[in-house]
Amino acid sequence: MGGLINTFGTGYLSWFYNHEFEENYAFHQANAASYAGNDVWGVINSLYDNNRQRFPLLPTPDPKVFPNLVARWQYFHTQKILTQANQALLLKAIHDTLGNKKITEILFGVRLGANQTIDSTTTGTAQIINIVVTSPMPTGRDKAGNALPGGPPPIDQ
Amino acid sequence: MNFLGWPLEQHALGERARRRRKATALRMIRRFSEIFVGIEYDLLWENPTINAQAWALADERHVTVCGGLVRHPAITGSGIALMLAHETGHHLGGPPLDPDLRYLTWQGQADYWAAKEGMPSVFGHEARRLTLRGAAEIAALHAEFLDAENQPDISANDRSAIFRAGALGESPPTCLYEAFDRLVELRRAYSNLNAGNTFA
Repeated sequence: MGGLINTFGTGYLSWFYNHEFEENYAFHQANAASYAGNDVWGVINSLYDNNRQRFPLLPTPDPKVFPNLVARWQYFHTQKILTQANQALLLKAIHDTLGNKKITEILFGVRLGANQTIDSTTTGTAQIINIVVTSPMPTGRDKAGNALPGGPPPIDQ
Repeated sequence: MNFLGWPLEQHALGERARRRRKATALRMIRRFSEIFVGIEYDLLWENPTINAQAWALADERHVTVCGGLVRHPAITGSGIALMLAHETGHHLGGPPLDPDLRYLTWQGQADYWAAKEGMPSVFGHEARRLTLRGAAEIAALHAEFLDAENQPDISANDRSAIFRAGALGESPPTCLYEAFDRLVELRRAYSNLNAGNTFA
């Protein structure tokens, strides 16, 4: 992920989406119209691949290792940690890329910046789409490791 | 995707110490900018995240350093220098590439490049001493990353061995390749789980 210290569970998400859009790019091009609006989780929750019989945008980490990873990913969108305006920008970036015949893959990532936004830039035949965040999401645990009520699902331990 | 896990600084420094750390970081950034002219370095001083990051925007190459890392008690000028060399290595270190983001050099190789090429390019004969000291500081930082979701994808011990080999001009240690293979294998294994995913 390009960090001084890269974390395993969160790197999984990037890997998951990059492989999905590399190996099944034609499916997503055919369903480019699904990438619209300002509700990313709604798209994750509705786009279904009948051939593979799965929701291709729903990450599938080992639940024994990362029981809360997907819940935290869901929280990031549904609680608008990523603002609706930026969710719209993210979906538009994907939609526009899928309609660009010169692009053959999308590489998703996250980087820190001064303001939350979405980067979408082309390098060769790849589109790099980064979610730019200003800080990490709260861990959902106190210093003793106990889950905190009312916050995001606790980070996996 | 750091937003789900990276820790934030817990220790407040006094105003004088903060000024000193900031000046050190800016001085180091200036030295790296002079040598690696194709890379843009910046410091997000107010950001409390304990990390730094290499990233690309079209053909531009960037390195962003967070204030939380610069202000961490385990870090001195040596650690800041080695961190900058490591981030530069993500752009210039060559294969193996990051399995998650394949336009960047993978973590272990970025460490090796930092110690073998990056630090000597900036610090000359001082590089070995600074690298070994900085490596110990980065190993200490790993203690902040204890949650499973939040665990580093390469251990502090492996990183120390890689930094040391690079600093001493040795070949990359086998642990570099073993750590890379382990990461790829784990990604592959997890991708095959729960293949018929539903919301049930």
